[in-house]
Amino acid sequence: MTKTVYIAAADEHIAARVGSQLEAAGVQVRLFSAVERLLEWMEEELPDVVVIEDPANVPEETLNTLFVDIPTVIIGTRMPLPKRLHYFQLGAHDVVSFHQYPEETAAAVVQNLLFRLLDLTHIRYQNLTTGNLEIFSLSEIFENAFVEDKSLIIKISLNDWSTTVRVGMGHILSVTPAHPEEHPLDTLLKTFQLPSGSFIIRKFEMKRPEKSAFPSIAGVLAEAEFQRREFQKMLDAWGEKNPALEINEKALKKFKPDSAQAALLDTIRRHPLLQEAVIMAPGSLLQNLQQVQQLKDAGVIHFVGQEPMEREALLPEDVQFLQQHVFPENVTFGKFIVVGLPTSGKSEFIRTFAGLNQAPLKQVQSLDFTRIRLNESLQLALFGVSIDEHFQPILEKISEGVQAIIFLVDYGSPERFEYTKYLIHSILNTYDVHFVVGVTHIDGDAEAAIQDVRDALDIPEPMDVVAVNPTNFGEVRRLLYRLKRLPHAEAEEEE
Amino acid sequence: MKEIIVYTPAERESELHSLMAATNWRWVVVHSTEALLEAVETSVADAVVTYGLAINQLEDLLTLLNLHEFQFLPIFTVIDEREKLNAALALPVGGATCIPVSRTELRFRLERMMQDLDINRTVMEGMNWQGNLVEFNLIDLLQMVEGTGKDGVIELRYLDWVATVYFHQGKPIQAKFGTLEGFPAILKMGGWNRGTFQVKFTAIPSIVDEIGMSTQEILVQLMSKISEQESLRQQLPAYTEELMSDPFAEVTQLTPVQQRIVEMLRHPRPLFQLLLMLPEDDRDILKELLVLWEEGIVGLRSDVERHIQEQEEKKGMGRIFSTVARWFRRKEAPEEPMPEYRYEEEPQEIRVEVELPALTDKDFEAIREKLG
Repeated sequence: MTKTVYIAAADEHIAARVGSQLEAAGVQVRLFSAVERLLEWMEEELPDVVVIEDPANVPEETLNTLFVDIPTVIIGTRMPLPKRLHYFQLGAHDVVSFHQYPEETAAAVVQNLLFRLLDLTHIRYQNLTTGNLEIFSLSEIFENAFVEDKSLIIKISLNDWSTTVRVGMGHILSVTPAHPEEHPLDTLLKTFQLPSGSFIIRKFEMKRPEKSAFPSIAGVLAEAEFQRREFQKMLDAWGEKNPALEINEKALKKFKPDSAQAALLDTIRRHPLLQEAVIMAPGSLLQNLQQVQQLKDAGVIHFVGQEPMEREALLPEDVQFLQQHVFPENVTFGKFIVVGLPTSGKSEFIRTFAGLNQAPLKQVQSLDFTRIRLNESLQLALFGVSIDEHFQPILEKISEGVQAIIFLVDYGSPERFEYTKYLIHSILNTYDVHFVVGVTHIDGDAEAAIQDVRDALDIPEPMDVVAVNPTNFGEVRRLLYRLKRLPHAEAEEEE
Repeated sequence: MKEIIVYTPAERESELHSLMAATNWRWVVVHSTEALLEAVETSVADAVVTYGLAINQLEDLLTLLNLHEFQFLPIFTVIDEREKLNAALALPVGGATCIPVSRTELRFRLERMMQDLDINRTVMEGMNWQGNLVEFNLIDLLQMVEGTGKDGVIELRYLDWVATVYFHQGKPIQAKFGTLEGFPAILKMGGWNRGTFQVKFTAIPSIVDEIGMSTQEILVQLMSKISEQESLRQQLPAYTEELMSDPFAEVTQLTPVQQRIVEMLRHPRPLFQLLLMLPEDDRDILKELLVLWEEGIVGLRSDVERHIQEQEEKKGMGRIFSTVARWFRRKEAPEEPMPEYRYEEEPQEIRVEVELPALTDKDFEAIREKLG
């Protein structure tokens, strides 16, 4: 791939000389008489590196934006140290002053930068394994190293906090403490609680026998799980998820923190989120959590913008609504059926219900099933049925005693609307229960999508069609409030 | 915290003290190439700084690091000879400067290099995990992906070959490699022990399960395939060894697969590439290859070339040999003496010694107290 460099210089001779040296090395070069011209051109096409002649007259904001967008080298005939440092501070990648180095050095610096950005980065990608902790848990990686007797070096980082763990033949050999005074095992245990961050992994070969003074990986994972639960218990007791902490400076003046508390307060100033603060402060996680409790009790810190814990179960008023509007009187066992194509998010819908209520979920081919205790005297069975070749017989088998049917329609599969329409109308004519249509996978205007589905499926007016994200408990819960019986059924009941 | 390894002659270390004191980076200073190799082998350094080395010493060091497969290290070099700076910048290093240099300027240059080469900062958009198949093979990846319960794609790459597994809620539902699809493609990918992988959690084109097997079933089949494949491979050269068909071998009747193997090995190719080029199950290819190997129809490139030369000398078929020799552009080289290390005794098995927990009287006392 051709490497491209743009050079902007008022002195066209300098630009031409640096440019020709780069061209001789196979780099594609474009020359500009001023930074403004270069910036205009860059709106169309971006180079790999930009070289500009001492931009003393260019506004700092412009330079700052340029430096953030494209690696830039500043060149100039005479740039004293304070000026060079100023450009570095603004974000320049390098500064070459020709009173220090010959002009050829500018081309050499640019070529080296191109090698670093394009070639060396690629070599690093080929040789190192990297990922982010929000997706892959460290436990999986350590468990894999343990089971497969792997020898790996794992570097884990979150901002300026990092540690390197060496695992030899499935045993932990060494851990670099995140703070000089921290016990390596405390650092290791904290890595499993990191809310985000990244890791780099490299395989290594053990050249000689080594002693391991660490517990086995299985033991470490068990301890980490214990700490996670303790952490969760504390959060539950505080009724918080991951609050930001704020220091009450007035209270702090009267309070005499010990060295560990002072270190924690110092960390809170830099990392106010609770989870980050207790991990990044020196000392063990549980000790730091206790310190948070003590500082909170002493009024030295408090939670900012308290975010209430999301209720993960239906609220009593939800159950009351269902009892009054959906379930027959004195019923102790309710039954809802969720119907949808395999892509409609039906399983996610059921899982959201089941997962957030800690109810077990059973899956058998095209059928999902869960049972939820709504209150002391009422249970709800929730079935999810896929619209496939087994659909009709399964629905017939489970429909006895059903109180509501929820249709989920995948807005991303309009080609199935015709078939879905046929099925919905056939169900509407067969069953006299509460209905609602949930539209999933809407990528854009929800109102328009709802209208599209209503029109395409010819949904009768009293029946509600609502947008729903099947993985969002709040939306799943709200959908229950839209369950309605069709008028003909209600009329018959009144008669 | 950044970890920087500095390689400098012992007498020059003091010159770096003010730089090291001014940053909160973690510094490891070494004075010999052995110590440097040990340091880079046992860490994932953010930078390796060489300070006060002559340009030829730097070149030797880079060669040494390359030989030990550390070409990925971000090396920043500080040299004494101003006139050699351009030469240093032309080497495969991440950055270079020369003395005298202001401490702040050096820190800025070093910082820029570390930022540019921090692969976690420059991670490709949407890519959640990427790396080398030497560290994690498909079996590892499938197990780890299953734990996430998400939708996405695993992509394996080796040279120009690309293979893909789609997973839904953590379970593999489709795989593609060349003309292969579904489980046969997964089976083929299971044997990859080199190349790179990328795992991306994303929406997938279809969630229809084209494989129809649980992850555990797939893993069991893959493990059994790899074990069977490995026992066959042990009777053959290593995956990286170049194989070649012998044009002078007596060929009787070949099966279609054998025929294709012979055709493909008209040009020397490593065994691993041969497996990728043929759509058949790797075990079947290895079985057929084993027959060809035992009959001398296929051999190691060096052996086949020697055989061609012998035949040429024997039969005076100068023209044939020169044509073949031109194909491979192989230069005549004097026979190298057997390296000394080959006569060394087998190295002792490396072990990790795990210290047994030793409880002190104080520990016992604490336990007794807890137990009441």
